[in-house]
Amino acid sequence: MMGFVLFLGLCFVIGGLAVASNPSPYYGVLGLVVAAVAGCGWLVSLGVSFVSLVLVMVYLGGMLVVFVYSVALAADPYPEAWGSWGVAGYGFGMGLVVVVGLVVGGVLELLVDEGTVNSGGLLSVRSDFGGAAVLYSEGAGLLLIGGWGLLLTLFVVLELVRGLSRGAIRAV
Amino acid sequence: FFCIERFCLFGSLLMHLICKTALLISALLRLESIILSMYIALAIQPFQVQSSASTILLILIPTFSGCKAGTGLALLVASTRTHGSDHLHNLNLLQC
Repeated sequence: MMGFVLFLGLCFVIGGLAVASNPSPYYGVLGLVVAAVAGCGWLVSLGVSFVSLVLVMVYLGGMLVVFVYSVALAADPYPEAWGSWGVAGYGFGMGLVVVVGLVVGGVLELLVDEGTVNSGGLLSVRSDFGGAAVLYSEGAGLLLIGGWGLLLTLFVVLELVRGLSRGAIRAV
Repeated sequence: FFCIERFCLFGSLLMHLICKTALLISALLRLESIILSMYIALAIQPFQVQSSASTILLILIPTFSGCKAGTGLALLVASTRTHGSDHLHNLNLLQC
């Protein structure tokens, strides 16, 4: 079981390195999908399954689908993958930085013990569900602000895409 | 094996790479991976304290990062309509 958790952590780091080294956006999206799936699996193995489902639905199902369609729009005819020297150099350099970060983290003893997410014996609700319920009951103002921000973003996107010869980027 | 600082390091190295890319969409992908690593670090963090209040932030972060991604993609579409591609050296109105 511990080996599976380590494997998921390794997949997360490899997906992140796949985005950080400088390939064509096709391969960057692939690395991001691998990192998101590995991160969700890691959160499920810790026990916070609600948070993992939120990540899968909003991030993978919403945003990455839109990103994949946009990558299909902004296309290179000759995409450079991890076979070229520039990309491999970036990947090796960033891998070195990650290894240094791991070593420094181990030296400073910041490793957290593995624990479960069931709350401390007094409540009958798992702790991540309880936190989401607080958002809907007492944090209703925050919910309304989030909804208003989303509506505002809709109009911002419409105006950015629609505006003919208005603003700096649509100067034509 | 939960290193919280590892995620912050991850975020910082990806933030470095936003500056040195040729395409706007590659920069947006690296922003998304920064947000993903920050999200997972925040999800792992309250294990010692066993607090349930941080789930609020873990629902709001994908919401606002979706807003940011949508706005970034609208800028991508606007740049493609004006310049024909989304290379970052096309965005050069500020000439010192």
